[in-house]
Amino acid sequence: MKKTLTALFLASVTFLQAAAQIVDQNGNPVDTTKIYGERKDSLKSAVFVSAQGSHTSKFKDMRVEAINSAGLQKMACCNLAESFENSASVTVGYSDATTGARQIRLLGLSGIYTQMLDENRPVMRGLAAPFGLSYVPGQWLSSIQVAKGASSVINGGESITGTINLEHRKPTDEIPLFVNLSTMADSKTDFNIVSSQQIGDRWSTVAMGHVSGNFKTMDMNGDTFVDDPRQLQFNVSNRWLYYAPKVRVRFGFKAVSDSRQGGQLGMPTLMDSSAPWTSDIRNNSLNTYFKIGIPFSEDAGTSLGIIGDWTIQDMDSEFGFKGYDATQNSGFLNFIYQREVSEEQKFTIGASGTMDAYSENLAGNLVKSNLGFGGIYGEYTFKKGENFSLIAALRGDWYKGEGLKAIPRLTLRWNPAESLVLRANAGRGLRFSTPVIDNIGILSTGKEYVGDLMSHTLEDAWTTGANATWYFPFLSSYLSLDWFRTGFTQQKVIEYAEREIKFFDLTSVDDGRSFTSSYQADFYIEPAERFNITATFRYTDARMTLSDGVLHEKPMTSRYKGVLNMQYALPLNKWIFDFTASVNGPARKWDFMGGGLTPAYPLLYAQITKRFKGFDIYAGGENLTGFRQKEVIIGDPFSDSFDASQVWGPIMGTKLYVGFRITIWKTA
Amino acid sequence: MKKFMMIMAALVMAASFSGTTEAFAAETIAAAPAAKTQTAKFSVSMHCKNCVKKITENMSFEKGVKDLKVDLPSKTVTITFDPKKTTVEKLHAALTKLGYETKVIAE
Repeated sequence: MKKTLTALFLASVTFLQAAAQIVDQNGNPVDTTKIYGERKDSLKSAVFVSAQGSHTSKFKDMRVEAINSAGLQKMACCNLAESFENSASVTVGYSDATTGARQIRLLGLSGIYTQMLDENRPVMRGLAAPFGLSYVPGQWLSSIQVAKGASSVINGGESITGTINLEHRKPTDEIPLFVNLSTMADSKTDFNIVSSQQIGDRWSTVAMGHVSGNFKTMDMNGDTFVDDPRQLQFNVSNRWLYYAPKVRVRFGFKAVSDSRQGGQLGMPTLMDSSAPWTSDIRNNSLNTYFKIGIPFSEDAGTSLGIIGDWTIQDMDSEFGFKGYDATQNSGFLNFIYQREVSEEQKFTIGASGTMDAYSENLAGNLVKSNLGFGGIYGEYTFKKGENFSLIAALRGDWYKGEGLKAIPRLTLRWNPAESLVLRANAGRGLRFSTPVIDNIGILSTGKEYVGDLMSHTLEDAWTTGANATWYFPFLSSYLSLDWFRTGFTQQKVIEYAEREIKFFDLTSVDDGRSFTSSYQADFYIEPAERFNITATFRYTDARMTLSDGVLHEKPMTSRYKGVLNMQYALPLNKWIFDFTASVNGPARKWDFMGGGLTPAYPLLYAQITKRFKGFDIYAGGENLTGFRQKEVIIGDPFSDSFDASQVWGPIMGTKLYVGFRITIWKTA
Repeated sequence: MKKFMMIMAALVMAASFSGTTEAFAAETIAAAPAAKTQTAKFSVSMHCKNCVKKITENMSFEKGVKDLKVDLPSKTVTITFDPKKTTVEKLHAALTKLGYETKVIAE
């Protein structure tokens, strides 16, 4: 019975998802960013990486900085995490010093509060999140959009600080073969192969393969722990598109297998108290999805979309003598109906649901939990010419064990003058916490866990924000100023002490408060043809009440980040030179680390690309100043004060790399 | 080791900026002798941004091409080229080989 229900659920999910694919006005296969029609909403500041740097459109409701395929080639960008290295909006760090798991921060908050979308499908949720950023090869992507603030309610209410949407290479790309190989001086090697094929007028497919590994481990800081884990990853995906005048269907799968070993790999293995502390992690996952899009009019002004998604994620791991084995089954189903009433008004209504079944075994204690939420939603868009737009959205979701919750969101855009765009938005976000998974670094400690770390608190937050962008009449320049604030009314708080890690709900503390304000300025200019400069500065003020009942500056959250990116290209982009410098501000340490602040530190990146017809070769370096965090490992391994999760800076020193890309285009 | 890394970093940066200088020089050379280049405009049956990318990525590396402008709204491709190295016919053939119907509309 359970299997039948599961199959039915999957089938309906799949059916629903398809409607999302909508045609463009020329009847061409469309990019999935248009899956719900061109959503020109909001103040959501998005981060685009492009060959010419950041771009914003004054007529889009959403201020969009995009990272396109050219931007993804500015740096090594072996995987998604590294794609954000030159962004101030998104900060990338390590979860701990042993697993190589990367985590991002948006608006000063952990990436768990950012909704990850794969062509407008929620992905990297729960168990898939801690290592998920490493499982998206940068060379598979065609663009990334980072949107800050309360976003559309169409994909659910889980986005709190914003969304990051990933666009992969398309089945309709006329590139039958793309190959990329890169290797770093530390032996980390990436290989990607992608093939897009068009079969007749209606069918097309893209197959993607990836193998990467870190074959040689090093301990450059002499703490007996390897700086980067030994690792081997296999990753394959196949996506299909069926495109007919009356229906569009997309479906596909992605499978990942990854193993990594870290810790004191160079020490002899003895099963006693002097044994080496090692971590051994194996991750396997399978994701399948479908989308069905049915346009009811030629211009797709009225359409039905159905999206379905299923993910199985399995993690087997050992951290010292502590084991953590977990499995997650997740399903997502979304029905979307969209209608453009007139040029000024459009509405979208729909229903969606998500279920997650977790099985977690931490140090022999098995806990199974089933989480679910779903409901109905509506979104109304009003536009007055190109100078004003309003998007009002509301979801009503039932959360298992928590009852009915309303999720309202509002987005405004106003162009009071040709050169000025003002945007504002506000909205609520809700998500079930998964304490161990959300804080995977706790496994790289010997500390005692105090509190309920297996319960799934429904975290509740409101994010408000505003953006002003001025376009100057010279050198294609602009200045953009953002302000965002996220305030939690409920949150699972984690607090580190010398020999324990406390887990508690924010509301369990008297007058418990948790909020983050983020201020950002972006300046873009093109001083000469094919030469662009982007300068960005972000300041974050994050505070939260800890178990002592006092409001503290949030520990291990960097106060500021500045990024300067310069790109110059020779005519016809035959040579491209990229240089990125960033300064990362201090963060307050936990009291058990002695208090005080971590130091500010600079990072430099540079890359040279030489392009030929169908062939690019590139070389570059990361962290060229060689800055490294000292004392990444706290306490003796296997002691109750051991902690390898307090990482605030680079663990590795300078990394040089070389690589090439081969692109074969379809010809007549 | 740290010194070595710093030197490498300096070399990479120096290479970047020396490339920049070279680039400006190359631009000047290409722009100055206007009489040595010729421009042709083609009507091309492109229909999407992917077509723009395909044409740009391929035609930029055709022999003799000095500058390229691909305009989707007007469905035209304007190519500045060195007539000693290529001809309008060869460029026309290269565009056709990419799978587009092409017509010369100005030379």
